[in-house]
Amino acid sequence: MGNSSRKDGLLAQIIAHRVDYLYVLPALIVMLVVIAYPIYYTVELSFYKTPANLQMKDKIFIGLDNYVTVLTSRSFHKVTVNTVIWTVASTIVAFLLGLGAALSLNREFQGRGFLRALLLIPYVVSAVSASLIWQWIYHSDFGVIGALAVELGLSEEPINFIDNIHTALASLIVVNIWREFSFAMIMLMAGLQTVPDSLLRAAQVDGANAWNRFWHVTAPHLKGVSMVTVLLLMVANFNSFIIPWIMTGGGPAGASDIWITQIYELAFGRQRWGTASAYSVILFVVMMALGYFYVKALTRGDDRRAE
Amino acid sequence: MSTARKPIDWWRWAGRGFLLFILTFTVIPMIWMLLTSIKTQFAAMQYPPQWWPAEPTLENYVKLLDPTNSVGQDFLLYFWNSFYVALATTFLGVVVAIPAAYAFSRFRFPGRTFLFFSVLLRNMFPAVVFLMPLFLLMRWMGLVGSHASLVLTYLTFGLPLSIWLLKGFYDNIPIQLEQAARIDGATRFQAFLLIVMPLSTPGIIATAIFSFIGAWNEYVYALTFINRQDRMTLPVGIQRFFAEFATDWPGLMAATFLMSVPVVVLFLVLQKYFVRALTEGAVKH
Repeated sequence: MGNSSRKDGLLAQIIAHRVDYLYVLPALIVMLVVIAYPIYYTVELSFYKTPANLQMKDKIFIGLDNYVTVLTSRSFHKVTVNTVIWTVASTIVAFLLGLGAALSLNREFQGRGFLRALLLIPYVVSAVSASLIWQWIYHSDFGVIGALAVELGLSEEPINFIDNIHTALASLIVVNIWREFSFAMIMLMAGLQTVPDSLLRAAQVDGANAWNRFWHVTAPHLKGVSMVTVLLLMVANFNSFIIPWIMTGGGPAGASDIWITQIYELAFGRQRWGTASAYSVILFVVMMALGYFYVKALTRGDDRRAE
Repeated sequence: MSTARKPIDWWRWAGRGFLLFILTFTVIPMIWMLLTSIKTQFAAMQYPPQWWPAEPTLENYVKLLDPTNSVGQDFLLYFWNSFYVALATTFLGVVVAIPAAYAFSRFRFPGRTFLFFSVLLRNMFPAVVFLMPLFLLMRWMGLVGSHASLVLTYLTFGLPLSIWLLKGFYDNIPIQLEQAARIDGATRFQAFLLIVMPLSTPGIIATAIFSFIGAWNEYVYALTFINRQDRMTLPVGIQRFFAEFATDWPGLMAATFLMSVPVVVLFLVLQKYFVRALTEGAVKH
């Protein structure tokens, strides 16, 4: 009984708010078509064997076979390890560089705005630009880093960075960090502005040194924004496709292959859409876990504003 | 009487040193791109490299921007395609996002939280996993290879992002303004249109820039959906230069530079909004 009266309440509420839905309706329709339907269809496809000519009416139901194929494939373990290294290393280093840059820029001096803008440029331009520029920098014969290394006596001959199974992944991580550390910087700079000056000054009067001021006054104020930043960086890194795809295509010999490049290769290189869909669903699940924390971190205090 | 000499502030010096390091790391690749783009192909392919171009030339840029030769023709066409697709995406995304963002910010209708979380969660998923179903959808609609397929699919990231950013801006507009207007007899929709909309212009501009830059830089959908060379957008088209003239690094660097110019200019002019849009929501003001 109580259950049904709550339902009535919900219905009554929906009717009372019916005009509100008109505002959301256009967005809702677009999202259903380009987001909800694709997610549903990906899950569906993951249970089917799909024909190579992509005539989906000929697909055959095979239950969980695609998942078994993905999880037991020879490359899965290695690609997963690569994905974790890529995501974690990029995130940690980008965050630390961003934190250092934010703290260094956190005082008034001439040219501060200019420096901030300059540091942000790699983040603003396309990852395609980053990939192409660094491909040239890493070039095995005429690359500038290789030539510098020879000049400084660090190496006998130009270094082959991206065609080498030992250095490919690390080289790509450097490019990724180059591109995104300033995102962490800008987030943390915004966070630093929430640290009250009076507190810092009071700590200084009390004789706290710079480290103590940072650790006991600044750091606690950065906790929230740091959490969001790390999560967003992790999501972006986990999902990044352009840099590995353009620079190495996952090679050499899978040395820089991550989940995303693997999925793309399965789907559009080998036309195995069922398997690729199963892979995507596994990725969905991981992202949902990250997403849970993301939403939690973002919605603190969201319900204070209401009509 | 003099006070004791001020001790050296090591932390300040550490900060300066760090800035120098991070600046070098950021800027050197950009400088090397520019230096390469003003070299001749012969000069770029030397070992050891010419650190400074012996005979700087703008030939690569002239070639790309001159509509009378085939390279320039292609490049300008890609440029136009990118511009056109990005503009259409931005317009469509912002128009649809404005009322939705406003509703998420102000109204408390059943399902609001759930819907808003689904908007947020979209940002968690990579384009690649949407490619297959969207490809089939576009094929079914007969849009594969068209710019319409790009505009539609760019909404997958443009729309959620726009809603999220705009909601942040609406959240910061005091609700008392609308309440005052309501008391003066305005309907809720009038209050939205006449009070809130004008106040949120900076937010709309910021959102539009964000959306434009995102669409301009997009690569994955363009790579997969566009099969005709004359429909390609810049990020994909530029790679074609690379594939066709496998060794023309100066030309490629010049093209990369030109591709980056519009977004960097937009960013520099509207930096304040850009930074605000980026950090919106993550920092409670």
